[in-house]
Amino acid sequence: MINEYLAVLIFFVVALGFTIGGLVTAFLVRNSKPGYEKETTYECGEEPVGGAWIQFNMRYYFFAILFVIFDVEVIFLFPWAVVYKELLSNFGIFAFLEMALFLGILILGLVYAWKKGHLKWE
Amino acid sequence: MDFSFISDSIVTYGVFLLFAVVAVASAFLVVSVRSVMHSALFLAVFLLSVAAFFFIFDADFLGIVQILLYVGGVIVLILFAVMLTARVSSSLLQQTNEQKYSALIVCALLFIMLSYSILISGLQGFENTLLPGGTAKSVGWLLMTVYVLPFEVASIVLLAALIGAMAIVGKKDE
Repeated sequence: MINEYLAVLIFFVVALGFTIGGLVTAFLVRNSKPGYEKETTYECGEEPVGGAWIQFNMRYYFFAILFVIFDVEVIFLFPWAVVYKELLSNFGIFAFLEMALFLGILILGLVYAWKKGHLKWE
Repeated sequence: MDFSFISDSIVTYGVFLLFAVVAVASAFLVVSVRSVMHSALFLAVFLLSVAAFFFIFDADFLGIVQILLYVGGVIVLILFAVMLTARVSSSLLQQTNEQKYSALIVCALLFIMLSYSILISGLQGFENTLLPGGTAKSVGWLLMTVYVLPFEVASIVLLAALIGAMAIVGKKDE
């Protein structure tokens, strides 16, 4: 089995080596000359205001959970799509209706959130 | 001890051992580092090594699901939840209390119990069988025929999560 994923494993090892190698080489050859400009988060960008670990707005959580819910939905689409042709020849239109019902229930929730104004950002 | 159920190939066995060490180390760090934020990030490392186990044991569909859903989705959700806590910026947030020694004893007992029962079971039913057409096909077929009712109920569970999130965020009406 591992032979099928040997390419992925080699890619993983090379990517890891590339990252660590770059950092180690930079650590070995650079000279240390820290300054105020260099220690800012974005050397050539906006001046950051405050810390990054702040308390987030509750609204972000809703969008995160919305993302996870539709993430799960997409994952269920994959095994369905793989066997769709076989299902169609065995069960006819029910192969489509099974997934339509699944999507329909979730889209109902999305429409409800939309109607309630939860998707609006103000 | 016979570990041939993992793999006959020494390479696979080595890869399994590598990810096993990563999984145990990151799981330990999740409960031992000071910052909740770092705990959440080590949890991502742990879930990625579990995904590697799925690939090693030929469950490639589950491996992809693990990466997409747990590392891509659930970790994002946990990070948001951590960000929502008021004391996230304080690095001195205690993660342990005075019960940590009794917790260690309970963990050790659980470990002994689980490893004993796994080893005496002889791991029956763990034959290394490759499913025809990969796991995605078999999962899809079972999901759409035998387990179609749980599959539809899963969408209701997701709908409940969506409505629950709306209730947490607060009432909003035009």
